[in-house]
Amino acid sequence: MSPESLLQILVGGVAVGSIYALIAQGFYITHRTTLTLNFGQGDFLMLGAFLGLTLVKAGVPILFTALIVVAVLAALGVLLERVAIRPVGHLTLSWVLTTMGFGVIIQNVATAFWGKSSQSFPSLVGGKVVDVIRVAGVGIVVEELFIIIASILIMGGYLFLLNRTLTGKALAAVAFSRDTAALLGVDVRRMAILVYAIAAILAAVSGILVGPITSLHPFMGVKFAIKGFAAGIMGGFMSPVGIWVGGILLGIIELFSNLISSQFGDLYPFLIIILVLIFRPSGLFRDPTSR
Amino acid sequence: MSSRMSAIGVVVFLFPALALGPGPAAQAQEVKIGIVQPLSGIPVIVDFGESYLQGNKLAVKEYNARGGYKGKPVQLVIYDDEGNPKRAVEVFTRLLTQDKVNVVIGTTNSGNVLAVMHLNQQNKIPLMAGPSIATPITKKFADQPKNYVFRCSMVEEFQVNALLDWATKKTRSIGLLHSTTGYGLFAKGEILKGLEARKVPPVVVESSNPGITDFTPQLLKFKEKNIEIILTFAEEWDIQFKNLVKIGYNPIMAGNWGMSSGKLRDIVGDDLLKNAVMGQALDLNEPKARAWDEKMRKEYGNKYHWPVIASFGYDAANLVLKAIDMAGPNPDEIRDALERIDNFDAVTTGVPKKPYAKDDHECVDQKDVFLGIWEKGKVVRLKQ
Repeated sequence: MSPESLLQILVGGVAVGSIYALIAQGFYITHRTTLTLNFGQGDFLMLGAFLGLTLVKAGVPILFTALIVVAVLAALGVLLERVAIRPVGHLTLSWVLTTMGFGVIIQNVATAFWGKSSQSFPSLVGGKVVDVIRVAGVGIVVEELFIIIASILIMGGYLFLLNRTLTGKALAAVAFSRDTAALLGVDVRRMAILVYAIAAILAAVSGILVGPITSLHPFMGVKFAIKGFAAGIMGGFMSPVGIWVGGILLGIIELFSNLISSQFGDLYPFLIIILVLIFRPSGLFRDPTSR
Repeated sequence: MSSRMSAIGVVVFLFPALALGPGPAAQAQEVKIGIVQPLSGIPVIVDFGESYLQGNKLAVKEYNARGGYKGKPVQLVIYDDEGNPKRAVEVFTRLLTQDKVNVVIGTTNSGNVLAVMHLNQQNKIPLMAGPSIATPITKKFADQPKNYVFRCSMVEEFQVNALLDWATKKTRSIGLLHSTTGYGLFAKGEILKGLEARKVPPVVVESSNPGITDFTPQLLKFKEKNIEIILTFAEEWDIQFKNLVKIGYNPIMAGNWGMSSGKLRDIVGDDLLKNAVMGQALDLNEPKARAWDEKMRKEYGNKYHWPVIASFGYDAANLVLKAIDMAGPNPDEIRDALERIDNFDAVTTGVPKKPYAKDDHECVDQKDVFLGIWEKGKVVRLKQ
C-alpha cells in the first residue's frame, strides 16, 4: 500500500480515536471523582446529536445550536446525578443499572421524537454533504479535524482544571476521600454534580461533531460508548493524557486492523486491549500501585 | 422499554361495516391477516419492515373501503418480531394457534422466515413471505404435495444475477465489499458463485463488521487496485459514500435494492448517489408506478421513503386479498387460489399478471428484476 494511503488510514484512525477519547474523558472525570460513571454516556452523545440536528434544521446558527445543546445536556447531567447516582451511592453497583436505565429512557424518548430510522446531520460548514480538506493527497473531513482539535483542547482543559484551579484541587480531594474533603469544607455533592455536568457537556460536543460523519439513530450511542470505555480502560483512567492516548491508539489500531484483515476488524483492537491488561492490568498510563 | 416491546395491534377498519350496516354481511366469517415485521431494533431492518407494512396497510384499507370480505372488514393482527428469530417463532406460533389468522404476511429477516415457515407448512396456513430475499425460502417445501410458502419480494439470486450480468459486461475490475452479518455472508456466497460462473473472479474482497464507523482502509484497498465497480453488500452505505469523497475515489457502487431507500438519499444526497446502481423491480418512470407513488405520499407523507419495498408490500396484500375473494376464508383454499391467480394488476413493475404456479411461488422471476439508478430523486430503470 502506498505511503499516502497509509497516512490516510493513520489520519482516519486519529479522528476515530478522538471520538473515543472524548467519550472516555466523560467516563474519566466522573469515575475519578465519584467512583461512578454514566453507562448511558453514548446515549447522551446520541441525544446531543439529535438535538443539534433539530436546531440546525430549524435554522439556528451552529454556534447557538452548540450552546443550547450544551446547556440542555448539562442540565440532563445534573438530573442524572440527582436521580440515578446520588440515591444509590457509589458503594454498591446499583449505579450501573440506574445509569443504563437512564440511557434506555433517552433512547426511547429519541425514538418517540425522531423515529427509529437513520437520519443525516448536515456538514457544520458549507452546504455540502461532506466537506473535505486535502493536504498532500490525504483527505480529512472538516468535522474529523474539529473532533481531533476538540479532543486535544478538552485534554488540555482537563489538565488546567484539575492541576491549576481550586475546583480541580477540590475534585482531587473528593477523589482521594469524600469524608476528608467534606471535613475540609469541600461541597462533595456539588463536585459530583459538576463532574456529571462536565461529562454531559462532553457528550453534547461529541454528538454535534460526530453527527455529520456518521448517521444518526437512537441506538448509535452504544457502539461509541463501548469503544470509549475500552479507550478509557486502555489509558488507565488515571490522567487526561492517558485517556487521550488510549483513545487515539484504539482508533489507529481499529483502522489498521481493517487494513490487515477486515473480516476481523473488531477482533484485533480488543485482543490488544486484553494483552495490555494482562501485562499492565491498570492500563497503559496508570501507576499499578495507585488506587 | 417501549421501543423494544412488541407492537401488538389489531387494526380494524370499521367504516365499511358501519356504512353497510347489519344484514347478510354480518353473517360472513371474519377474515384475519397476520402480519409480522421488525418494528423495533436495528434502524435499517425496521425501515424494511415499516415500508413493507405501509404497502400492506394501504392495500387492506382500500379493500375494506370497497366493502371488505362479503361486507366485513378484513382485520390485521400485527406483531413485532424485533428482527429476532426466537421472537419470530413466538409470534408466528401465536398467530397460527391463538389468533387463528387465515393467512400470514412477513417478515424482513430471511433467517426469521427460514426459522418459522415450517409452522405455516405444518398448520396448513399460507405464508406470504416478504420483504425477505434469501433465495431458498420458497423452495424448502417445494417437494411436498402442497407448498404453503409464497413470496412477494425481491429474490437475492435474481438481483445478484442482474448485477453480475451487467457488471461483468462492463469491466473485469470488480471488487466485493460485504458485511459479516448473516445476510452479508450469504450475499458473498451468491456473488462469488456468480462471478465464478461468469469467469470473472473478484479482484478484491473486503468485509466489514456491524457498527463500523469508517470504511477508509477497505475502500483504499479497492482504490489501490483501480477497482471500477464495487459490489457493496455492507449495509452502512451512507458511511461508504462519505468515505469515498474523503479519499477522492469515484467507483461505481453497485448493490442490492437497499440502496433505493429514500433515507439513503436524504443522508448522502443526489450528488454522491450519481454512481450508485442497485437491484430493482419498480420503475418510477412508469405512469402506473408514479400514480401509486403519489397515492403513498398522500397517505403517509414523509414517513414514506422506500417505494419498491412498499410496492411489494402493497402487491403482497392485494394478492392475499384476491385469493380470499376467490376462495373464501379457508386457509388451504387461499393457498390454492394464490396459485390460480391470473390477470393480477400489480403496482410493482416486475410482478407479472400470473405471479404464481404450482412449482413457482415467487412473484417475480429473473426476467422481471432489473437495475435501478437514482435520477431526479427517484429510482428508475437503468438503460443498458
